[in-house]
Formats: sequence, structure tokens, C-alpha cells
Amino acid sequence: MDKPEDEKYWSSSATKGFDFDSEENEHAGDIFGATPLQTAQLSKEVQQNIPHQPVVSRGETHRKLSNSLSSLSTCSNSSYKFNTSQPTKQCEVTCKLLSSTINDETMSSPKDVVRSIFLGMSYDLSCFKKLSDKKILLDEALKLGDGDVICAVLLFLQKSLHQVVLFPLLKERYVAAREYIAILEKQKCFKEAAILCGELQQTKEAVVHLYNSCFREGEQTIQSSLEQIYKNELKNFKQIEVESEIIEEHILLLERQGPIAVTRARLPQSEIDDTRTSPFIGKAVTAQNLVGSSLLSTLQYCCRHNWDAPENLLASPIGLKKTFKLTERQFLWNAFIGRILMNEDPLPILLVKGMFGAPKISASLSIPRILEIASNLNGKPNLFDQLLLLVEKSEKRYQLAKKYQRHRIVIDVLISNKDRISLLQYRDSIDDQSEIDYINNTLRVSVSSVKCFNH
Amino acid sequence: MDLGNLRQSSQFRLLNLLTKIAPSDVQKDLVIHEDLMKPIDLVSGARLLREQGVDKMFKLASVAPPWKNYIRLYFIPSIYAVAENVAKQLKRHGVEKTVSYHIIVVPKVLTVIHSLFESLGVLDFVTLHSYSWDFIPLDSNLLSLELHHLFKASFLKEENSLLTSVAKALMSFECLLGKFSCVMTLGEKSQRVHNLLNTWKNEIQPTFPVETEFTHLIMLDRNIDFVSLLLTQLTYEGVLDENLKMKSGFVYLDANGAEGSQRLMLNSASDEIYGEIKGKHISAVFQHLSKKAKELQQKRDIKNTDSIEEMKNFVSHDLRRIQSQQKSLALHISACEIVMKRQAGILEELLELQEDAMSGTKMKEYLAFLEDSIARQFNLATILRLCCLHSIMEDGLPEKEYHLLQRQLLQAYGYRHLTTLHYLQRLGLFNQRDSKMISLEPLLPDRLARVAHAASFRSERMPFRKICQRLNLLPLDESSQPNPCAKSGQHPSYVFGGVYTPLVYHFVERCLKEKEPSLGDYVRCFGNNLRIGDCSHPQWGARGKILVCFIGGVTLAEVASLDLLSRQLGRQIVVATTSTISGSDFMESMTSQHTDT
Repeated sequence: MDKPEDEKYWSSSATKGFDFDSEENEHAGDIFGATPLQTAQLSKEVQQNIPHQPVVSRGETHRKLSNSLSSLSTCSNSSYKFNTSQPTKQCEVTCKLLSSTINDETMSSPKDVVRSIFLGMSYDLSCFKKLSDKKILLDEALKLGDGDVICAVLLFLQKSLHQVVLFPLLKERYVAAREYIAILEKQKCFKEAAILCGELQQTKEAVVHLYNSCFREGEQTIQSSLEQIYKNELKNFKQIEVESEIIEEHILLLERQGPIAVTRARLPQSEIDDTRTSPFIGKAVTAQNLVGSSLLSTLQYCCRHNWDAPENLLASPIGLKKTFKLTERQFLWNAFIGRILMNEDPLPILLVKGMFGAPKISASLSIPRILEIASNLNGKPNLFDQLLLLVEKSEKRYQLAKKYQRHRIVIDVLISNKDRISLLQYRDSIDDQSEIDYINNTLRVSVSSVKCFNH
Repeated sequence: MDLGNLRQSSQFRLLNLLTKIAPSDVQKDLVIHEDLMKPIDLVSGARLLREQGVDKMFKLASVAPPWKNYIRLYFIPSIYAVAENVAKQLKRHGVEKTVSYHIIVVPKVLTVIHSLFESLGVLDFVTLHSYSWDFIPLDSNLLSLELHHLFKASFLKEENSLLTSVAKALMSFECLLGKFSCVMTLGEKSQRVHNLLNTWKNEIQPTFPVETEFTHLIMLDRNIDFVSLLLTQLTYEGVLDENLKMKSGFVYLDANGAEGSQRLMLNSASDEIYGEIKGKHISAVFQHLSKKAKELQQKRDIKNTDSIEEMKNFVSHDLRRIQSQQKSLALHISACEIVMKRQAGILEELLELQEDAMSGTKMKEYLAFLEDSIARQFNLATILRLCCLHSIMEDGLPEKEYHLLQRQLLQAYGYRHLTTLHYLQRLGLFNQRDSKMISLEPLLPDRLARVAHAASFRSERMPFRKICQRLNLLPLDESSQPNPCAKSGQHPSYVFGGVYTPLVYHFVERCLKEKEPSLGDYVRCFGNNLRIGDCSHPQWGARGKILVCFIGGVTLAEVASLDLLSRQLGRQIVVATTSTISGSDFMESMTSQHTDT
């Protein structure tokens, strides 16, 4: 080969690489085909062209790049020497790409990742492997304050951390803990939510989560689930005596409701769905929806269908009252409603003997309220008459009697008040002939006997 | 100011999204969740959807509808349980290569929802989209995001994912109608929304109109004033909401709101009569309606005797207006009748009890009523409202009283309401007074114990009765008689029959003091929950319009009180809210077994 031609070729080559005759021959083994002087010069030129980075981001970028480069250098030829102080964007991307190919990911700044989630950009949390990095990530999310960002981080932590590690971390971060409890509730992980609440010393809430978990599988398993948490789980929590008692009562009620409903369903006569109701009372239950109904609904049901059941039977109203320590007021109202719905006379239940042997309403139930409900439930007229007579103040008795059109009582009040004018007016306002006759007779007798009746 | 811009902006975004999914000439089926039907109707209307190629529309049900087209859209709120049902429904149906499913989640595809779809492996044939509308104008002074589940999510479960959507809506409001110069927040969530709003603005750097009509933004959390939620509203619109349940500005006059039933649009711009009566005390409404009926009759009668020419003119111009007014009058009278029938024999007694709770008198009788009503299983929502009102005003109930009521409530309405009572406790509505814990608070061993204590007992707050006294919110005089001007509508307490002035009325009034807000009392009452913007801003004293934003819902009684303030100050006040809310609605949602968020 002709040397001058060769020289021309090498000097004119756009990709000038290696000159065997040059001073750099001593670096013949250098794979780059360039001298340190040349690289230094090139580096200087390149650096001059790089725009000046802001101080903060430079530090962060430097750190990121250093990480990726250090990871790279551990797996490749150590003779690679990079100037890492001022990397270009392309260089950073290349390094990231390279590092991912060797399965050692770079860690983006937590702040940037959190920002990406907030702005709806794509993000990758898998690079946060160390616990300390995860903590920083969570703290950044909390600092930003967006619930959805916190949720995204928490879902990542749920997948990547064991509960034993995650819960203490959340214990120190109340806002994150609350968000996580909400996530667990959505995922129907009630037991985990209960444990976390326990860690946060919110034991009452923990019980509620456990209690809610019993309704997850449907009506059939509620009783057994409740029994299970009552026996096994509740002992792990303190200061939940009231809640424990409530759960125990619920189990007791379910134990009764099942057999009561079954017994009723076996009876030949079908139950007629009674549509009578009042705005002042709850809706009555039937055998079909008895299981799962409330204690007082069950009591009312038993007062309707098992009024005379002996105390030792599950369906006995008195048995229910004693077992669940119901108040007199709770019992009386439901017994009254139950009996009236069965078209029975409810008055004997309501009456007790007063101080001088006179009857009075037990448990200080309000007579106007009883009358109102009796009226809504189409109570028998006789009931109204008897109840009205128990109203002590004549003015009140008069008003109530007028409201429920118990003419004889209205007339009697007017007679006792010796109010002839009102009596005459009342006579003109009614159609009942027997009551009109009663007024006429009274007026006739009183005219002859009491002269002052005119006043 | 044109609030209609908000609607257009929402409409534009919706149509853009639909076009992005598939061009308008491609037919699509749409399944829509019940809660979104009315708002979508207000945003775009069915006609616009049809123009975008929506062929068949179905209401979301537990089973898939009879599909007709290959592009199938779902419109659902960002409620996990709803999303889960849809995802499972799609999973059951499996993959059909020719079919594509698009789930539009309002206001946002939450990470937890995305993760759900991912975990069920349906993202191969399902695409998730976020869509958030701007504040929807329900009336001339009322805007709503119609995010009814936000209260439960943010205040009860303390998950704050939806607050970003509120911040976005406020930013959009600013972009359309001008930037707020003065911002005041009362409550932790409001503060959070304000921070998120600033973060959004820093990130996006939007351009705002140079001219701004709204100078002030006042934000409040719903839990700052629960009493306004618990007391019975006594304005006409409030009564309608409590009894007939307003849904996106509409009420149905029959109980179930079944199709074909008469509905009443509660919008003063389209219904002159409603504009006249909406803020009136309920006792004055029927009188007004009967007067109006006579007036309309007179107008018709007068015209009957006029000349043919005048009659022609009358028929072509006035008759339609009169007929439309008569139609609306008939609807309002029907609504009054329904409410009166429903409340007969109950309302007066309840109002008396509420008066007692507010004044703190006759407490023995109050408790007797509660016990008696609970034993009869009287309406649970009403009873809980009274229990909560009592608890708030007394700063929690004594231990014995609390346990008695708790036990009796559970025995009467079912043990499952253990959860309901727990929710109410978490919200600080039905609590046990714990004097020991309060006095021991500084001695609690560690920070965690104090945080837990603060969260469960809310003892860092000043007792509400003290707040009321300090801010003069209880207008009852010494003889416990309601303020005489209560029913006349001159005093803001008229919205609650003279027993309580809504806190928001007082707060907004104090914020708008000429030179700088006089909020010293609020600082003492609410401490860090109150944040006041830069008082030195030149716009602070400007008499611009005011946007009062409620996080967690507003009652229509509060809106009426702000309307009164607006008239008194001669400045326009517009209320923006995440949703409208009433006490009955709130309690029903608390007692529901489905508390999904």
C-alpha cells in the first residue's frame, strides 16, 4: 500500500480513528482510538455547549447518574472513564436503558415520581426497593397532600412490604394510615383493617371492622362468624367491653330468631301481611324477614304470635324482656302495638294500679301518643273511651275526645263544665242520633233541676 | 358574569372525550349510573350525546344490558363498589375481539379503581377514562359538583382523593371567570383544597382573564357546622329537599320518583314563582301561593272582558306566561300538600325539641322523648338527628346517658347500626363526654396516644355551644323565645325558625368587613383550621363578587341565609358546593348498610 495515499485517506476520513504513526501509539490498546488529550479537549468543548443546570436539579441528576454509572461500572469494563459532573440528557437516558438491561434499575427522585403521579403521567415505583426509599416516597406523597397519590404509593407498599413492616411505618403517619384503612375496607380486608386500627389504639373501630367482616358472606353465616370473632378475635383488644356485650347480644338474638321463624313457617295458616302502620312506629316484621330484624321488632313479632308462650320458650315475650334486660317502656310499647295488630285488647297491658287503687298508664306512656297510634292502627272504639277516661285534665280530655270523635266523652266534659252553649253547638255538629238524644235528655233534665246550667 | 360558561366548558370536555373514544359517526351504547343521569342531563343533555353517536342508553344494573353496538361506554362515579361490579360484569362476559369497552369514571379514575381493573385482568379490552365536569349551575346562586360521595370519603373515611377534583374545578372556575385575589379557608379539607389548587396552578401555569368579577373565595368544611345540617330547614326549598330529596335541582312529587311522575325543577331562572318563594319561611309560602293564584285568576278575568284586539294580544303574549305560571303554581301547591301531609303532627313537636336542644333547657323531657320514640322504632334518621344535635350542643353525652341511648338504639333498630353509631362518633356527632380523658390529655404517654385521642374525641375543638356563644349564633333571648324577626326573614336565623344563625352567614359577613376581616373570634374558636389570605392585597377591600365554597355539602337553608346576606350587603354571593345535602339525606346515607366510597 502506498503510504502517502494512506496518509491522505486517514487524514480525510470523516471518522478519523487511529494513526499508527502518531505519538499516541503508546496507547494502542486504548479501545476508543483517541488520546487522553483529545478526549479532554472534546470533553471541554462538549461541556461548553451544555446549558448550565439549576443547582438543585443538578445535584439530584448527579446523584441519579452516579448511581446508574456505578451500577454500570460494576458489571462492565473498568477502563471506562466518564465525566459524571455534567451529563447530557441523552447520556442519562442511555445509562438508564443500559442499567435496566442489566437488571439494576436507577431510582428516580421521589419528588419527581410523586409529581408524575399527581399530574397523571406514567410512573414506575419498582425502583424504590429499600425501606428507607419507600419511606421517603410516602413522605413526599403525604407532603403533596393528594389522596390519590398517597393511595398509589400505599398500593405499591402493600404489594412490596410485609404487613409487619408496613404497619409500624403507617403507625407513625396517621394520614397515610387512615387512607390505608379506607383501601383495606374497599378490598374487604376487614381483619387487616382491624389490626391496623388496633396498632393506632383505635380499638373500638377495630371491633367495628371485625363486626362488619361477619356480614361479608351473606345472612347464612352471620351467626357463626360473629361467634368466631367473639371467641377468638375480641380478646386481642382492650377497652371494648361495651362492644363485646353488644356482639354477644346480637349472637343471642340470632340464636332465637332462627327457631322462631322456622316454627312459624311450619304452621298451616299462612301469615297475612298486615299493612296497618303509623308514622310514629316502625314497620312490623313477618316470618320471612324476622331473621336479621332488630330485637324490638322480634319482641313485637312474638307479642303478636306468641303472646302466651311460657317464659322458658325462645319465642316468649317475657323471656325476651328478661334475657335482654329490656326496660318497661320498651316492652310496653311493643306489646301494645303487637296486641293491637292482632285485634286484641291492649289495655290490660298498659294499666297498673295507682296510689289509691285507681288505674293509671304504666311507665308514664303518653296517652295522646297511644291514642294517635291506636287511631292509625284502627284500634277498637272501646279502647279510646277507656283511655280518654284516664286523661286527668278535662280540657285535654275534651280536645282528644273531639279529635277522635268520642262524642259521649265530649258531651260528658261539656256537661260537667255546665257549658250549655257549647253543648248545643256540639249537638248541631254531630249526626249520631243516640248522642243527640243523650244531649237532649241531659238538657231536659238539667233545665228542671239546675237553673244555673244556662250559664 | 356568565355561569353558563361553566356548563359549556364541561360540555366541551365531554364531547372531546367521546370523540376521542370514537368518531361521532360510529354508533355507541351507553350505560350510565343512576347518580350521574341528572348531572349529565344538565351538562350536555341527551340530544348532544346522540349527536356524538350514542345510540342506546341504559341505566346501570347488576346484569349487562342488551347491547346493540360494538363500542360500549360505561359512565360511573368513582365509587369502588360500583367499579368493582362493572369490572366483574365485564369479566364474566369475557373478551370479544370486535367489541371495545370504555369506562368513563367521574371525576377521576382513582388509582385504587385502576388497580382493581388491572387485577381482574380486564384491561385488555377495557379502557379507563377520567371525566370531571366543572361546577354545574343548579340555580342563579348555586353551583354544585354533584359529588355526593365526597362527604363520606373525605370526612368519614378520611380518604382525600376527590379533593383534587374540587381543586381542579376551582382552577377551571378561575380560568373562566377570573382569579380570586382573596382566599379564606375554614377547615382542614378546605385548606388542603387550597394547597392543591396552588399546586395545580404552579404546575400548569394557566392563563386567567385580566378582568375578574369574583374577588373573594371563602371555603368551609362541612364539619365546621354540623348543627346547620341537623336542624330542620324551614325555608321552602329546604323543606322540599328534606322531604322530597332534591336531585340535581329536581324533586319528584311522588315518593319513588318513578318515571312519568310529576317533577319540579328548582331553578328560579326558569320558574318565576319558585324564585319568589324559595327562600321564604315555610309558614309564609302557602299564603304567598294563594295570593299568587288570585292574582293569576284576576289577570285572566280582566282579559276576558277586554276588546278583541287586546284579547288577541293577550293570547299571543301573556297567556303562555300565565299558563306556565299556573302550571308551576299547581306543582308548588301539590308539593306543599305532600309536605304538610308527611309532617302532620310531627314537625311542630320536633321544632320544639330542637329549640330545647339549642337552648339547653328541658333536657329531661328531651331524653324522655328520645327513649320513648326509640322504643316505638320511630323514624331512625329523625331520632339520630336529635341525638346528634343533643350531643353536639352538650359537647358529648355523659357516659351513662350515652350508653343507655346507644344500647336502646341498637336494640330498636338492629345491632348492625353499631357501624352507624361508630361513624357518627368518628364525625364527632354522637360522642361520649369524657372529662377524664380531656383532663388527662397532656399527660398521655406518647404522641401517638394523643393523636388517637384527638381523632376519637375531637377534644382539641372548642365545645360547640361555646363557639355559638362567642359568635352569637344563638339568637334565643333570655326567656328562650325565638327571635321575633325570625319568621319575617330579616334575621338569618329565620332559616331555622329563629333558633340558630348558620355559622357560614356569620363567617362570610365577618370576612367581608370593609378594610380587613374581623376574625379574631374565629381564630380563638377554630385555631389552625382558619387560614386568612393576604389582607394587604389591594383587592381585599374591593366590592367584587364572592364565591363561597362548601367542601362536603351545603344545605339549602344555608344558601338562603347567604342570599339574605347578599341582599343586605348589596354584593353578589354565589355558593359552590361539592353537593347539596340535607339532614335527612345525610342520616339516611349514614344508616345505609352500603357505605361505599
